[in-house]
Amino acid sequence: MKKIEDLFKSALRDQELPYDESAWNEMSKKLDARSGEGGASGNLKWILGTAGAIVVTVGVLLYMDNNTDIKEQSKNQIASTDLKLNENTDFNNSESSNVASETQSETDDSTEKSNEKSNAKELESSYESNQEEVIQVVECCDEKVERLITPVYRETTVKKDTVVENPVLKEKLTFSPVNDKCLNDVFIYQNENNQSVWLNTPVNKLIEIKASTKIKEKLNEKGLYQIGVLNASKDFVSRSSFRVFEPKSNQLIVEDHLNYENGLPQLDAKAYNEGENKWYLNDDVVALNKEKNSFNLFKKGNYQIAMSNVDINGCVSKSVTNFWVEEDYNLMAVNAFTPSSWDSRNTHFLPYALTKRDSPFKMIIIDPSDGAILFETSSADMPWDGIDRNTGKMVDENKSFVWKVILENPESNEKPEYIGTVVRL
Amino acid sequence: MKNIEKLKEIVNGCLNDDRRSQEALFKMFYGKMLAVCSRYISDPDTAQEVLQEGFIKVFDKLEVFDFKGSFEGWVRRIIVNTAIDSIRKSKRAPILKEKDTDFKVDSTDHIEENETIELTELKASMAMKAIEKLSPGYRTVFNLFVIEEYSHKEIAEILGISEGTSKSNLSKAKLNLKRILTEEFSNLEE
Repeated sequence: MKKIEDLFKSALRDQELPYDESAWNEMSKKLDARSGEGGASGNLKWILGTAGAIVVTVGVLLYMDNNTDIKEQSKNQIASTDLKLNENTDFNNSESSNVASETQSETDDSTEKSNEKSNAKELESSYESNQEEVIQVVECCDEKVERLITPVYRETTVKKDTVVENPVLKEKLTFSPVNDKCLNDVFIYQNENNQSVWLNTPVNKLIEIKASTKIKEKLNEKGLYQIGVLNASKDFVSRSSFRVFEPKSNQLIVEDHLNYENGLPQLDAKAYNEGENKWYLNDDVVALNKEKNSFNLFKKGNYQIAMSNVDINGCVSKSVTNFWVEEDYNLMAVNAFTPSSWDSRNTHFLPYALTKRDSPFKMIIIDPSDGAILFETSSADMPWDGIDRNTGKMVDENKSFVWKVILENPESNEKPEYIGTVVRL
Repeated sequence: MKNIEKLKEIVNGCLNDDRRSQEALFKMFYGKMLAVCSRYISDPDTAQEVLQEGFIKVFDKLEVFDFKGSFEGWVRRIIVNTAIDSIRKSKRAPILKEKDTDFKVDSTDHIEENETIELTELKASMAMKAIEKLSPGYRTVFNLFVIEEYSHKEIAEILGISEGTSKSNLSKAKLNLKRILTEEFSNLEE
């Protein structure tokens, strides 16, 4: 029995469809067409646009010449209004082309261009309007860097009570794009505008970012954060947004005992998460991108095991645990053997780990009383049987001997030489 | 790390309008992103077109990506938004409006949070087949909530519907999927 959403999520989240060789050809054609738009046809549009603007300007000038008094008065009104709004506002009418509308979708270029045309027509009549200062935020083209704020002019000469949105004055507002973040990240944002913008948190808390100031805000809520402005009705209107993700579940399970299966003092750990893992032993990175990791803990003491995970959203979380090793690792050597024992496991001496590890070594047995080497081997199949190779006789009972093992290829954090004592019983 | 360096190299190439780098990036994410599009748009040709449109946006916006988050997550989000925009713009299926019956909340609606089924694993192809049978409205809400892990609040904002409607549609989508899967499997048994 499984929840429907879990079933579909595990089936589809990382689904990948096979690559279609013809797909890039189609994509490439689109890219070619797009670069073409910016080339010859783009220039043509620009030339036509400029020519159109000249025609309109000449027409307006001729018209104004005949109606100088009225138009001058109206233009002055507009100019003074603009100055009240922002001293930096420019009067490039050809750019005052966005219709105030609220849509979260990205607007087609074609739509924008047709709006430009219709607004150009409306532009002239706006000179005769008795404008009422309403700041209306133009919303188009989600995630574009530059936005426009356009005042709406209420036509008093028109009898019907309709709002004509004539973008005569404009003010460019800049909203720097923000990448998605993770919970508890510190969000730093510079308001480059000459007026306040607002940060709207997922719990609809509005935080003002005053003109030309920077804010530092700890992101305590997951979800959608929006940066935008307040419209005439003091309602928040989003201009740029980013999401704050909670790091995905990241569980580290560490065994409670060492596993000597391979003759090494291994501590096994497993990560339950998705994404990229980094494994740490006492703050040193020891492995990358592994679901499971084994740590060789050779010395007695406390070890800090940690695993950090970067999930699909780029959020990092770290799990840390401590493990205490009771004693130093000494190749799992016994401290006594009995050559005459009935139990074949006790009749020879060789540190047990050397029979499990696939690692070249050399072992010597030394008589501590005179330093003589009694036995030497490099094979796990040839353990010491208690015979002194110098005399060919069995060594004395209850006497202690020193063993020394030199590893040719010790593990990365392992010493190459081990020493211990063994008593012949 | 090597993968990240490689990706950075490709992205830098794309920023310089290098067609080979664009192709490499396209190939790198084609399979996963086409799967995303196909979950929202049943028609394969339209899904391909939306994918291409999405990639053009990816190429356009690459300069704002600063490699602080997951690149795949970033691309995925653009593709999802493009797919939703495409559905929203579709005149034949203006499905993403509050007034649409797909999104209407019926007061008698039973919202079941934990709809379960006697299955432990589902093949991607079967899952896709079932999702395709959902109405576009249910499908979109289900995809956004379950696969993309958006909250109901975010879905409400993206689709211009209420949170309650989003919840209701998710519940209905799950019920329908359960029914579709049950029917599919009973057909298989026969």
